[in-house]
Amino acid sequence: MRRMARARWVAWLALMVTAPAGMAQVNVLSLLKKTANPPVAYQCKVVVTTWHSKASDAAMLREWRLPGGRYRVEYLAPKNLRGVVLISDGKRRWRLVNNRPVWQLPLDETPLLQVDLLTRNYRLSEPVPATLLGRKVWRVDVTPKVSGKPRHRFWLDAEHGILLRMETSRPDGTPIAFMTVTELRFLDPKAFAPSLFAIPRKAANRLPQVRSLSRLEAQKRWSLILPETLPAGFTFSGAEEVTLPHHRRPFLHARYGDGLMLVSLFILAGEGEEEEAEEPLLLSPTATRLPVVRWKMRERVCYLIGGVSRPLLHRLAKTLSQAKR
Amino acid sequence: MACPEWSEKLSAYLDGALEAEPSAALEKHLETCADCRQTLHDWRRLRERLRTLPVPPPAVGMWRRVMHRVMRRSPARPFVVPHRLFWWMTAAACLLGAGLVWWWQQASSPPSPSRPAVNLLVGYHADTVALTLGDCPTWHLVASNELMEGE
Repeated sequence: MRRMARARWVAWLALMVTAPAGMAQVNVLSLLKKTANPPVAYQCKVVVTTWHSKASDAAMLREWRLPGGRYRVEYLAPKNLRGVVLISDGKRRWRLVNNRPVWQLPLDETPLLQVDLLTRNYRLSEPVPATLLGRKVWRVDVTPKVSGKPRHRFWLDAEHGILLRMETSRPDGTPIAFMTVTELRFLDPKAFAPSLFAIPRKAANRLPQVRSLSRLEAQKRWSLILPETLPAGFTFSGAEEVTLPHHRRPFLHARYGDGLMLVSLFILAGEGEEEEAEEPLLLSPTATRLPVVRWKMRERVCYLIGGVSRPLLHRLAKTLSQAKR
Repeated sequence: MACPEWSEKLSAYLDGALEAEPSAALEKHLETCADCRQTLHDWRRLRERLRTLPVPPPAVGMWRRVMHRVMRRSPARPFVVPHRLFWWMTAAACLLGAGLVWWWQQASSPPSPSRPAVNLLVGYHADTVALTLGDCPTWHLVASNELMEGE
């Protein structure tokens, strides 16, 4: 009996000593840094499902990715999204619909995964080894430190950091989104046809005009206060003035991030209507796929949009609406 | 007095309305029948005399009076729309129809804001978020659906 108890103690001690050593072999943070821009050329097929309100969306996509942030993403399904293609040359990302550019975003202005902010606002679980598509992966749970944000579970390719599977759920476990790579093929970068990443030659008139602004510039130009930080660990990460096609007046888009999630503040000038409330008001949950809060501020209408809980988004909106010098 | 069987044909012959075959038969008959020949001669003379008679001008206001009586007495007079009025009425009907369709669409669809649609802003936001994880397909899907609805 004593022998058995001693043997158990020895086994437990051995586990305690060896396990951290094994885990130390993987640096999850460096893997996460690779996730946004894997240093390898590959082609994959992805299936995504998202749930919002009482409905759901599903899609199958095909991706070609090259190091340096170059990629092409095509929708294979559903039918209404076939023809939507995303092309990135590493500096700009274009959204094409039936070979016609309709959207363009500057990549260098958009923050990639901020790992230091991520670790400040989320708890990363010890990585658990697993196998996906015959490859060694690390499963990492990313849990927010404050309530109102979704939980994430990442399956990261152990070698290149490719995000092979992702689950997003509410704190009670209700799923929000599920993404999984169903096929993965590593290729020689030379095997990719240059036409795959070709940006359309014709500059379309329908592209939005984007002008990046610092926080101070945005405050000055729009005569408002943009706090440096918001509750729940959100910090100002950038702003731009956007003029959409067919809309004469530009709007301001200010982004606040917590290292993983972003909330967007949109300010539309001179468009206020009488019936709009001065107090932040949550829009109907069925109106959009993400929660939206709207309020009126002098002659402007503000929208706060984000993939966080409605109470948290409302709290953030309240802070923004009450921001004073 | 013309022969009874040729009397009607004589009238048609005089008007030039007789076919070639009966016309030839009548001419053959005229060679042998003096009565018919005389009747035809009399009718021709009568016609020539009638042509030479002077035509009296109509009394002043005669046409107005006639038309007035016709219009008043006709019980089921058809409604005739003047040409120009017809086109005006057609255009008005088209405008009314288009207005009704527009009103129906406005009434049946949820109120859409005059500024960029909220879906467009949500799509823009989701598109930006997608980039944080190298254009993560999850956010990309949200953006695509919202942009499709916002356009």
